[in-house]
Amino acid sequence: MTTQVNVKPIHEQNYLKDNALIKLLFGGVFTIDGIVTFFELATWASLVLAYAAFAMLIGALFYVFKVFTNKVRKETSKYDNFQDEYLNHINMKGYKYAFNSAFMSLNVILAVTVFSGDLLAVFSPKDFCQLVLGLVCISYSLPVLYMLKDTEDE
Amino acid sequence: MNETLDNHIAKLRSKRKISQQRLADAIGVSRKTISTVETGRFTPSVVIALKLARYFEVPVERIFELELID
Repeated sequence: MTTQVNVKPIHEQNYLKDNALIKLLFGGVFTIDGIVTFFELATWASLVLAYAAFAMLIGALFYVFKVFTNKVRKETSKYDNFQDEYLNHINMKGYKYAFNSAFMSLNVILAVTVFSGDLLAVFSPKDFCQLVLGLVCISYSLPVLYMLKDTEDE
Repeated sequence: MNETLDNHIAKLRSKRKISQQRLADAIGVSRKTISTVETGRFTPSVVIALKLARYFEVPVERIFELELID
């Protein structure tokens, strides 16, 4: 026998949206940090990107707080399962995109290291993790947010 | 041979003059689920199909139709 807590679909939708926004903002922070570390940018460009990353970090922390106060969290975070079918479908689709982008990027990096190991010597393990994490977070959140975008009630 | 799933939810809704939100609330799903099912972007489970049939008081086949395309 399974027990199911009645959660309103709108609360689940808000939870999924906030979660995707957190991942998008953290993805942005990781990517910007990776770019600033990897490329030798002009001081003003680094400063602009650092401010953008800081703003994203603040935004992400705001949404983390919002998600933690959402009553849906306890039910969905256990198995990352949504009671609403469509929300479950787009959550899984987001993971599919994230997996494929991680799989492809890691394959490309692996191929590069096989043919020219020196090319990646400039990457520290921290930069490498940040870039892959940034890519994974962004490729999860963008399709989810796109599929969640509002349409008019007919 | 390809198959496409067609549905008559929009027609049934407009006959009864109910909004997507009202239908969604009645069967316990999000409005997004209803709108994406209506436009054919999302194929629902049997559970939702049966809930829709019960709500509209028609057989499932009157709501969903499998069309064969040569």
